[in-house]
Amino acid sequence: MKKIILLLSALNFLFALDYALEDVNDTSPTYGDIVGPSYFQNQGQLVSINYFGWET
Amino acid sequence: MCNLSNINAWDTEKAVLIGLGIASGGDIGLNGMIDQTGVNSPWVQDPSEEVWDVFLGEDAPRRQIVLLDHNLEKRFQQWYDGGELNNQEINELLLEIQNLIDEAFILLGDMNGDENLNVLDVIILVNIALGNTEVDLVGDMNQDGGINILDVVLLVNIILSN
Repeated sequence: MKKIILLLSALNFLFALDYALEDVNDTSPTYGDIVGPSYFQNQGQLVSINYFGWET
Repeated sequence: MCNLSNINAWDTEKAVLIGLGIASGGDIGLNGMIDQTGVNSPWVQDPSEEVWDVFLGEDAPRRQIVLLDHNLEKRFQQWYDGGELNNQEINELLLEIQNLIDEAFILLGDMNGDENLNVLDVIILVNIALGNTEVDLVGDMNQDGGINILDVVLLVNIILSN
């Protein structure tokens, strides 16, 4: 059982996605902070909706 | 930042919208994305495109949404080629968001859904383990995909430790 838990933990680490970049929206409550999915998880927002745009 | 921002159509205490951009247009392009009435979601820049590539793959088209669950695993990815999300796309996305929220905030062992763990939950879980009641994986305390005496023991230990 312990091996299975360790294996699952390792797999979770492999598939985990994250980033930590500066929030540049000056109307955002976290403006200037280094944010990302795990940052907001620590604030209790466990789910992240990541919108990928392209500014031209 | 697309027409998702700040519509508060989901529980914003539990799920956050983050915008990621490649600033090919500099400040002018950036302002086009975030300097709009009501847009107060965080927005980050990804000039090296590292995050973009990891999340979406190389040379991926713009305007995509990726949902990460509470394990930071990708659970949903959708490319929106129109200027804005249509109603069907919004509804589908909101459903996915709610499913991930429900999954993330489920209280394992709360068999009767009263947001507390007590002897009532143990009784229900014992009945499931004995095969007297339909299986409910809320009681799968060790997350092995089934309900048995080990789950009952774990739940009892949690209740006693509280």
